[in-house]
Amino acid sequence: MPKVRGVIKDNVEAYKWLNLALDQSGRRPILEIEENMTPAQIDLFNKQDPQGTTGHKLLADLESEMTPGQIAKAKQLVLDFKPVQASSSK
Amino acid sequence: MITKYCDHSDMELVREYTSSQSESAFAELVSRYTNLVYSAALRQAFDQQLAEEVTQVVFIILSRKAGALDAKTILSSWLYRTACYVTDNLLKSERRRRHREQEAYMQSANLEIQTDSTWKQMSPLLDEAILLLRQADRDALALRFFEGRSLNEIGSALGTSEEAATKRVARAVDKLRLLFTNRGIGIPAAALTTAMLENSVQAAPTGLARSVTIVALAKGTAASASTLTLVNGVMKYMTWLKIQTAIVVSTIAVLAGAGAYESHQVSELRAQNQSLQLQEVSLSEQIKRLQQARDGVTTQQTSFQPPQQNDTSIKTFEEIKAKAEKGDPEAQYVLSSYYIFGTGALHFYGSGLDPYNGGAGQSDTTANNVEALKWLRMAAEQNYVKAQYILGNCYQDGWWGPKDQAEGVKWLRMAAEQNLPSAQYFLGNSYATGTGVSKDFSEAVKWYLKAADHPKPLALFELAQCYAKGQGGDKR
Repeated sequence: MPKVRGVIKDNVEAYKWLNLALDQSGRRPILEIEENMTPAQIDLFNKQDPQGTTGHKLLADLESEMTPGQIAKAKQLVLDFKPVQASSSK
Repeated sequence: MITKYCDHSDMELVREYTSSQSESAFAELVSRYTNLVYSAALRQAFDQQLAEEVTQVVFIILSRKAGALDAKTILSSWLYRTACYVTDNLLKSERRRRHREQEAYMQSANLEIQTDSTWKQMSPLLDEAILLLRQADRDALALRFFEGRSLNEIGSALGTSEEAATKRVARAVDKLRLLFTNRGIGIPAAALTTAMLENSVQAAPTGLARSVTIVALAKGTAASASTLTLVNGVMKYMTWLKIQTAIVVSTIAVLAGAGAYESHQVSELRAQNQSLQLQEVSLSEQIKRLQQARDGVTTQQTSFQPPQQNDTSIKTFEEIKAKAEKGDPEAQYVLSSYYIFGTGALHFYGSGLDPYNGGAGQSDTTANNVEALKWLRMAAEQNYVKAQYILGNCYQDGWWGPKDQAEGVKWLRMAAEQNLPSAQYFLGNSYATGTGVSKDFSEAVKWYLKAADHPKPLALFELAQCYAKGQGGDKR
């Protein structure tokens, strides 16, 4: 069986992307959004999970595994992130 | 007679039924899951007769869609979800009444369902909550609580280890618990688990399985007109649920004139202003028709109102078709959706092929599907990016035609390479799951990163997941 090419576990990167995901979707817990959910279901979920608990719980899990230095670095990466399309379209 | 299938898995029975039209295989399936479907319907409908009708409709749908089910389908989960759709569509127009009855139901001293205090609290919300979960979580819950399988068996069914199955079930229960908590119902995980194990499935009325089997095996031809309408409507609705994100989201993007890809194309679109205006009108109608299709299910229309001769949608359809025939890729793309959703397809009206008038199921809509795919492919071959994206999804999931995941990846890649973020995201998913292409998390991350540049929130989240888990790579 061919070996699956993968990515190395990297909490800083994970923290950065999760932060951006939560910011992008506002309070939406995007973990739960699937193609087979209707907009009404998504709305309902958001009402039930106004703080995006699921996503933030994952964020908290990550934080518990990270050193303060790693978190600071990840937060800086979030600040530095500039979507190519968003910036080029302006 | 039926017992010879006792050792067969659900999907083995489905294959047996589809390959040799085995009635006893189908009867075994009905026997296994009548109680599950009936219980789910009864929990939501609070009406025994309605629950029986839902059960009938669900198994007619199974008899029709059995051939399209993927080998990895968890049938109990699929039947459960279908039961929820059917029940919801039946009751949608009466939702207010339903809530009132729900309260009365809660107070009833004559409940046939065994009720302890926990179950009393959670039962009315259970199905709504389960439907909010991810497919994988629903599958795990269905196997554990509806089928009562052991964690080891669940692991086998899901293609994972027992340990992974244990975690999956626990996580799904935790999410359910969270949903209940947010609705003001605090239930400890252990109590929730016990209540679900004890109460999720109850016995259906005697003889229901037999009558359901007979009608379903006739593909519903012996069913009432209203039942057939519901069957056809829900089947369409299920397809609609799958494609709505793909089509409606891209439609909204076009209508809004926003999004990175569209802005990149803006000069070209300006040059084609007249064409765009036509598309706006038709796509607006497409959304309207989609909503109409969905709502039509709930009202159980028994007759479809064909458009009048001066109906603007006919003009629009004719205009679009004329443009499509001249080779306009946008028109070809829009035309394909007309065939799928039965909107504006003038020659189908009154012919029994209209998807919404109850005749579609009997005559099938294969002709529409073939036309839709034909036009979609023509647009895709002209490098029309949205058509490539939709065509890719069609092949990956077997919408409107045969499933060919490698072909799906081919079209998704073409769209992704044209910088369409949704296509990049789905191509990333294909690599992450090994769908139509060898599993390759490096490649998945590459496409997620491209989608993240737009930025697409789902891609951002998938990136977080990949890095958090170290998918397929070494742990640091």
